[in-house]
Amino acid sequence: MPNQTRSQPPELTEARAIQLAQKGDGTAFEFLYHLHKKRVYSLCLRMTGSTSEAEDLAQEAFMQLFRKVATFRGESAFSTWLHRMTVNVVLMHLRKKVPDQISIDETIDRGDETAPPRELEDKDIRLAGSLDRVNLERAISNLPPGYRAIFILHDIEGYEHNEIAKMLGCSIGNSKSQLHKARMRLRELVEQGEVSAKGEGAGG
Amino acid sequence: MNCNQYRSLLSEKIDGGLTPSQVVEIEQHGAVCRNCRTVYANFRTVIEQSQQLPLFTPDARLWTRLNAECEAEGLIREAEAPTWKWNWRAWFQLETWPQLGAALSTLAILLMVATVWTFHGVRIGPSVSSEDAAQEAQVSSEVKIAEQNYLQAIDSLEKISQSRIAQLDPSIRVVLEDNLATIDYYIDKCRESVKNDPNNALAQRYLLEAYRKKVDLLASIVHSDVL
Repeated sequence: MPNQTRSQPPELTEARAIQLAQKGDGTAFEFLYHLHKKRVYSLCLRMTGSTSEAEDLAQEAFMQLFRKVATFRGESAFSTWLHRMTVNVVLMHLRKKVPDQISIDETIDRGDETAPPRELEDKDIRLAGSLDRVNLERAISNLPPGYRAIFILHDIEGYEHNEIAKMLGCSIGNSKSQLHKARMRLRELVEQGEVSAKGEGAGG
Repeated sequence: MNCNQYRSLLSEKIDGGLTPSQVVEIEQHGAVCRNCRTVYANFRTVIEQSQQLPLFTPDARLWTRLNAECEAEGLIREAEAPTWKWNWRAWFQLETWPQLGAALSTLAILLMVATVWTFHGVRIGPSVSSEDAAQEAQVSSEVKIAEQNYLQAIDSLEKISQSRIAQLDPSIRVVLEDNLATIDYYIDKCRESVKNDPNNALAQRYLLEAYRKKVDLLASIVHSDVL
């Protein structure tokens, strides 16, 4: 006698959706899309600074996912696999757009590191524990492309320097060096934004 | 250690890459240099806050485009409707009924997911402009006609299948009726969604798909050659 119980249909899980997607199930595609859309789109948007470009790139990333989903073997987490795919899509786009745009070796350095630091005692501000997010997002978008890419990949997306070095075609040492410069530049931009917001004038 | 050297090591300090001697030196300089302490504090605040930035949500039209592209490339395949014909004798053995139940449950799951996403209010399809209003009205009219046809077919098949279902073993009948009730439940949910948003193309599609599935299932019961 079958042991069937009257129960509610179980909710779809990511694992089950992946299995169904591998068979071409459209509902599973949609489930996976909605599960991962924010992270994919946010990465594209922050790297490009353009909503239209971000939509196009997010679409391309998901299309690659759906074309290749049958090859997914679970050797890494599905989200990791998708995320790496998205990063590759974005970087290829940026390279096509401006060939040296994301070459962090070419990133312009603002100053000589041997020179004494700017004296900011009278103008420097201690940032509040909670920054204005709009100011922070604006500052990130105003970073030079090479700095922005490496900052986003390391500090926001969590990639290690050895992974970034492979993605960007540079050395690990170079990746670390450029990340530091990106962070310093971002700090300056945020401070300038905070000062402007408080009406105290430019920080210099 | 001077200020330049201090600031050049801030990333390593944040990322935990300093040697023990560097840790000592950097702490010593920070203790006596207020400017550098401020720079470090701000540096750290910016990084920590960046790691907590919220995610952005893409416009609903992104899924519409994606779905259309998937269909255009043939990536989406129709799920096979459950059928009893080709292996009817095996189906009629008690131990095979769980297979039917599982197949119907899977169908129900897919319908549920479709309904849930429809209920999230995702607006699928192009924004309605004055130029598209007439076209959407025509599509809605065609959907209503299709719905009426399905309902007529379901009505006829239900009348015939009820007598067949009544002759089944009670334990099997319970499973079948439970699964039919599940499909009816999701049909009602899809209908409600279409009623709330008549121009939602995806909701219309899922509703018609749910009807089709029910027709297929009832037809399988009616056309079985065992009863």
